[in-house]
Amino acid sequence: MPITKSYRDEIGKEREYEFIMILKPDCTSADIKIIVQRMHDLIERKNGKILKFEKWGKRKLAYEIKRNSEGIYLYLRILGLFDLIPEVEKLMRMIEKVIRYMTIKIDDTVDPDARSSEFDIETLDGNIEEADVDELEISEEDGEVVIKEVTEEETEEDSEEKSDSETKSDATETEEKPEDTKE
Amino acid sequence: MGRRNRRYRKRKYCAFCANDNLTLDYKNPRVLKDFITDRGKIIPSRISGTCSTHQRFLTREIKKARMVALIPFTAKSK
Repeated sequence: MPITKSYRDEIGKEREYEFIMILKPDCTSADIKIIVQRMHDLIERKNGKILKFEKWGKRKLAYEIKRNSEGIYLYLRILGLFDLIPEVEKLMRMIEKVIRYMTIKIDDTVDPDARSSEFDIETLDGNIEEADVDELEISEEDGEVVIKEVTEEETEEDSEEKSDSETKSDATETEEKPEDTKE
Repeated sequence: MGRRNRRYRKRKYCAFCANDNLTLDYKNPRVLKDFITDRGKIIPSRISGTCSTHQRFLTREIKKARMVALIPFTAKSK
């Protein structure tokens, strides 16, 4: 007999998940479309919803996975019940193009009616070139941004240091004065 | 002398407590990279100055980021 309910969950509430998958770098836009379509169908069948879909584009991996040094990242937000994720992960294991996937539960008391889906399967475009990456892109530009950030932090630190050093110098003066009188 | 040097040492502080704009998230490896060594180890809070609450979150996020290859587990061999 199949389990129909998790007793941990409140009635009428669903769970929200973050789902990341890494695809082989040689995947075409058609492949991506097929994979997302399969996932969408599965989630629909399980009465879940895809809230958000993002393409992070082709990125360099920090280490090799199955002899791939690059991968195409896809990011999804899924709303569904507890029995959805095992099915999704099973599907991921069956698709050879997927080299890594990860699910993270964000929230387990989400009202499904309150969340609207930004994702529409019909307008899905598997093109990686047009991927909206901005923040996550690893490139040589990244170094520049980091330097900028560091300088900002440094300026903050400097200002704090100054204030610290001022207070410290005051403190040292006050401390030194009585020593002099003793000598 | 030793005492005087100690007095002028830069005070450590938690970067996440000081700056609200720094979001601690595994999807943002640029922030996490400041808290790992060249070899990929997590820097202890005793050195980085992160408070214990944020260090706990940080550890968790670094481990997630490692899983999806945004951050290395170890330095590359060869």
